[in-house]
Amino acid sequence: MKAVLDDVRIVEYGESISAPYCSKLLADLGAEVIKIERPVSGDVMRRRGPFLDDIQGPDRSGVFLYLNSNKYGVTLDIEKPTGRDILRKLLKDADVFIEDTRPGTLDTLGIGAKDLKALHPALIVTSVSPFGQNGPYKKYRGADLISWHMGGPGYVTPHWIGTAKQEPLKAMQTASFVAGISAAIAVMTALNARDKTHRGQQVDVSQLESTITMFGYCLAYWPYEHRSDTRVSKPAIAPENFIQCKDGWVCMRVVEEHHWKTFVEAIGNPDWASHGLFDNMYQRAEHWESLQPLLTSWAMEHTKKEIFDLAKRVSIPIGPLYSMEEVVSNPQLTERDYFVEIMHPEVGKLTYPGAPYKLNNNPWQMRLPAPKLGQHNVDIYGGRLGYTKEELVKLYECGII
Amino acid sequence: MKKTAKMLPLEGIRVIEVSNAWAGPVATRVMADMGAEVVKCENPQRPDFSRGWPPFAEGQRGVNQSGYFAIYNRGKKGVALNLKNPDDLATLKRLVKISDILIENNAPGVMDKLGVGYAELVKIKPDIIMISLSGFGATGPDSIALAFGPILEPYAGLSSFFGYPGDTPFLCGMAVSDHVAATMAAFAALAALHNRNKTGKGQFVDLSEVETMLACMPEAIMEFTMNRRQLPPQGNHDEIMAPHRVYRCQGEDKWVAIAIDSDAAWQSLCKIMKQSELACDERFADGYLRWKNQDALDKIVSQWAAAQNHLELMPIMQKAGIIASPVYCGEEIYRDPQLRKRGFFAEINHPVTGKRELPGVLARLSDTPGVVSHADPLLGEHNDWLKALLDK
Repeated sequence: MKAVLDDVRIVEYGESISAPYCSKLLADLGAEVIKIERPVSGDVMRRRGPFLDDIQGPDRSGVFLYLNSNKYGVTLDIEKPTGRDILRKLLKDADVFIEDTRPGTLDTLGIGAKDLKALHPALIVTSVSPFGQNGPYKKYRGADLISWHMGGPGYVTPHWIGTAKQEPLKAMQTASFVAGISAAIAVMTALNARDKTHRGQQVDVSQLESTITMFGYCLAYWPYEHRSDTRVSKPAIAPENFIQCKDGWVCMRVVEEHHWKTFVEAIGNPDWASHGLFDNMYQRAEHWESLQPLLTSWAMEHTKKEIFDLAKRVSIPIGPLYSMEEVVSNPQLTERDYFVEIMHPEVGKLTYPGAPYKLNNNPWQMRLPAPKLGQHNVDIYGGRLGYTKEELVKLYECGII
Repeated sequence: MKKTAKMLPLEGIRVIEVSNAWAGPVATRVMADMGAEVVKCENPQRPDFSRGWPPFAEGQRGVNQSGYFAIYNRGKKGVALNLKNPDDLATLKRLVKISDILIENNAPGVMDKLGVGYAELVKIKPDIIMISLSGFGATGPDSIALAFGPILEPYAGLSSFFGYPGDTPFLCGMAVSDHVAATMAAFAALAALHNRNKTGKGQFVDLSEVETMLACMPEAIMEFTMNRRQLPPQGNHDEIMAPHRVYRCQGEDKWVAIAIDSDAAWQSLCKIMKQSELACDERFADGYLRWKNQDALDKIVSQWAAAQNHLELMPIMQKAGIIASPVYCGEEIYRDPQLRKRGFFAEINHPVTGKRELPGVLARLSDTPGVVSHADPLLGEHNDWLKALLDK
């Protein structure tokens, strides 16, 4: 079956999460991605855990293996003139270049967006950086911690904690992934424009700005009510809370009145529900101190599964808190073939998260395991660009590949 | 009609939105910002939930006054259609005939029941691209469960390693899964659109919010599939960097985020803290030692940070090569010099709430940039426009 992006060729010079995830999204839908890594050290993600069996090594990082599956891998030192020549040759055949170097670096090397436009006007040059390609912070350094906490979600996380005693939190590497998805949206937008104009362009993705645009609603408070949203507030409506049950936790979002009514009926109309303290979402928030123990004593009689089954049966929003073990064996995900396996020469067959969408005509596919460092040097540089074996040996010895 | 000199990247693409609140509206907002004509369909009896959610302009509640609604629906056209009414349903079908993409986030099966499921849509418009966004996906035993954001975070296991070590579980401060799934939906729609340009064929995309979350949490999943271990609550900590946290500063609920990723950055931090003895303290002499002794380190940095101004620290630390920033509240984001310099914010002019500034477009395209073209629609504002369009 043909893939939706099987006509798209991408060169990636990126590391860690955002840029590699952007090109992975495109690769999963069929684009050819050649990932360039620095010789010897490679992508920094190769040095980050978790590692299979807690044995470290450049081809054993679970996150690297996930983020770089479906790609070809080559090594190249683009700071050397010969390295830059090779990069230009690779880009000659590419539709999209995705890079995450510090703004200005490629210009200094003579391979910035302007130089590449002269070389190849149809190329889409996508640059992912912490704060964007211009402005006073362009050289500043970033991290997931920075884009999350500077971009808005940090200040309001966790939800409704009610006190400023504890610090604002980040949620795994969400800002970095969102920047990757945003970059993929930008690339696809530019490709769709190119379908009409036949011109390439420069795409500037700021991790800070993509975080701000994606997690917007807390940012509506300033222009509309001249104040800032905060995690340090008591809930105005309830229940939207975790409640402890027999074997763990469930999360209830039984706020809307019709949901509450259904819930009360479904648990057998207990006396406390008719005492007039919990008649609407605002009252339930006001009397939360009394309501929480009542909900807990009900929930402690039941398992997560029993409560979730009940919620499904009567159509109210209550769901279980799953551990990763429960997630990986969840029948819902199994039935949808969500997790995928692929054989890798070093780590063997591992289970990876899949892609989150099913396309009826052109589904995504796991075709290739993540490359070992420089695995496709001979295929790409030799087979495609025409370097001889002897030349490749010299390039390797000189540290260029 | 405002005409920009440059072509908009998705100019000429018409997108129909039949959805509510978060994920669907955010997905189509992204496409509106890139120049697609988005027609948002709302049930006049039950308009988009977010019209009823704060903030409201100067706190005045009203169906056309929500900033929550504005931020997710600016740049779209709005029509009021009750799809249970045969005339309105017929209108939607006529609109489908002249559209490219339909994005919906109703519960699985709802569109089929209304008579506008994918099977019906392809009869009307054979190359239509339909994106169905749902909490758990269109199939499977849990597809029938009610999928609100707060249910999906714990279901996807995010809540199992989010939060303060040793504390009870918490939700994130915003509907993370809805937002991330929205971006994913926009990506999938654009990929399908490129394929249509190439092959002339449409697509049905079944997108699950839970699966989108999982795609963004490989660290926790791979820890389990490779090593059969549950990732513990992470706080703000990093796998190896230390310090890597937010530290309380002067003022009420003000914090600075600091991530030290090298010996050089650590030396710079010691200099900025004016604690030269720390620079040669053996407990913190390299990355491994800092990671191992991070509790002691956190205490020292916390003590120092408490007397600092969170906004002033960023340029000082960044110029010394340290990854650092303030934790911004909403107001501070709107005042940030970098975002101002880049012209990030967009002003809308709304007939009821007037001029408001909102965050802008998610990425800069040099040749065909996006634009925030107009304010969020009033309920049913474009009914006449739609009638004229269909009668053309």
